[in-house]
Amino acid sequence: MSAAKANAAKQAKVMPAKEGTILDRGYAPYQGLYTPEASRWKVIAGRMLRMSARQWWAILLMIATVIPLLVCAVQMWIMSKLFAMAPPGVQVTSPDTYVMLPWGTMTLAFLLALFAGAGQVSDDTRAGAFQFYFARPVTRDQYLVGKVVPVLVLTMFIALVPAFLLSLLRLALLPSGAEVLKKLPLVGATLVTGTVEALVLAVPAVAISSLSRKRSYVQGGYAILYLLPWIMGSIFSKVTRSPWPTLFSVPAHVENLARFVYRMPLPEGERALPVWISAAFVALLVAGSFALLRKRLSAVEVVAS
Amino acid sequence: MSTAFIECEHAAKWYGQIIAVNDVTLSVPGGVTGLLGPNGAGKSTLLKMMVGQLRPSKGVVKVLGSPIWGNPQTLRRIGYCPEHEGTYEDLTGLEMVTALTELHGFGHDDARARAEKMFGVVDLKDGMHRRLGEYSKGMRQRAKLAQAMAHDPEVVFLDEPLTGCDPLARVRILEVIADLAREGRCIVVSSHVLHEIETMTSQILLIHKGQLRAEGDVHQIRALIDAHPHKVRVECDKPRALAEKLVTQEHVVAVTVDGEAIVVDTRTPDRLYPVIPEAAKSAGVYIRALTSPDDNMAAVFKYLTETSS
Repeated sequence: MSAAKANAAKQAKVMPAKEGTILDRGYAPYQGLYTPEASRWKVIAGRMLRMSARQWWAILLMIATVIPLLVCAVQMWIMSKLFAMAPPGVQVTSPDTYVMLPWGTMTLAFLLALFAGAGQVSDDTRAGAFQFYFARPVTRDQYLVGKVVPVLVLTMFIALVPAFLLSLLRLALLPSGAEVLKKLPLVGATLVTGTVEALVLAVPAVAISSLSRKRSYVQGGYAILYLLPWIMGSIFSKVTRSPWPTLFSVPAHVENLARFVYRMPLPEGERALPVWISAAFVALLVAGSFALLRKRLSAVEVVAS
Repeated sequence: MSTAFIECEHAAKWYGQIIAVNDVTLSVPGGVTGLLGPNGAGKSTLLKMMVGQLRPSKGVVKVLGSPIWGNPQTLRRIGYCPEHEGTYEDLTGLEMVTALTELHGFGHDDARARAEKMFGVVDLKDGMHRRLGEYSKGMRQRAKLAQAMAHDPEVVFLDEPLTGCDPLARVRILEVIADLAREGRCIVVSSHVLHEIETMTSQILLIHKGQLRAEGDVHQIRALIDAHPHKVRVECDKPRALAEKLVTQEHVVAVTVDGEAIVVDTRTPDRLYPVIPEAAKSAGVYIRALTSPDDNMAAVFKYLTETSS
């Protein structure tokens, strides 16, 4: 640029704004109250929850959850009758068994986390929705919580609600008030197990969705991470008669923790990892997923999509 | 106290070895300001720094007196209409604008009322209950404009707001922008379509190759560009006679006859304008029209971007 032009640009820069362009100045900034900043995540979570809940897969999976619930309820009813009638010394499966991880619900919860979680961040990355969120007084952490909570709630609907209802049914089937009181911890156990199961399924799904723009890649990656260690671990565990091949199997750890919480003994001949290992695995998985999400989002700069 | 709504102090942004915005210092007053630049000039990067979506690699970008990056208090007072979509196709327009307004700190009912009002402002009340996936490009633009304004911001950033709009939508959006400016707000409109900006304002920021090339009123900027003589086009009945008179003037660089008009090149248009009627009178020429074809945004843009290429 010539010196003359540089000078020209410099002079233009200090020029006052053109006068007379603003005529009425009728604008007054909003002086009213704002909702608390910490509640922003609720707006994101509420919207995401409503959006996810009306998807076909969410409706289908929630309807499908009724099947294991009914099957387990019938089995529990039959077993509770047999259990009451069985003469001393005769082995009958405890009806409490049906409360712990009702048959098939973990697979359904996994599928729900897969569908609901996979798009949470990846869809926003692909569509460029960050530019809407982060041009507002929304922090990365509020966004993160707002994205995890709906997946967690939906997953809990399958992971927790059937077991919880079955635990209430179990109490209802007991013959006396004293026995109800004795079995009351069963309800608490369903809440703990359901929450752990939902956390361990939902949070990693959302974390993985922050790694790619493509929902299908996220779903594929999540399915591999969940299914491969589970299937391989189960096979090698049977072959070697050792629980260690299931070290990276999420269902194995959840089941192990559930047995501990429900105080259910292992079936004869089966072996499980020490409970503290399962607890540590679950804690590491959830904390690691949150850390990954936070790392991916904390430095988000919204570059052109 | 500074009256500028937006200030950049030596702001720069680079990605590895690529410099997107290079040491930009500027201030933006109230009213409409056009952010101009060719594609890839760095205007989107600068705009994203102004709305707090990109952290400057160097320097500072202040909006309403405070650095904008990571500043929720200031983010609450700005509105941003991005160029790209980034919307949830399953939501209705009203649901989207309501949710985004809630994120500014308004309760649900208040946010919904504001969203409905804003759909009225952008003439989209009939379509606000339709899913965004069913919206045309023009409707999406208006919905994005609604979400940028529903919380009543002091500073509004519009990135290519007229892209894909039909003529009616264009007119409505231009009216809305003019109204916002008239109320005393600051509106920054980014575009590479010069005539769009020209219909809104003569106040510009011109970015090229990541650098601020000019800032201020386009006509005043043009007056400062002395490397290119100003062109004055005179339509008249006897162009050659008038050309003969004018070419003798010492401040006239060149005269070109163009059909029934002449184009006079001069470095001092202020001295030329009084001379033209005198020359016409003495030559017995009837002047039909007098225009300055390069005293506009396109010419300023061309001169300032071509010279640095």
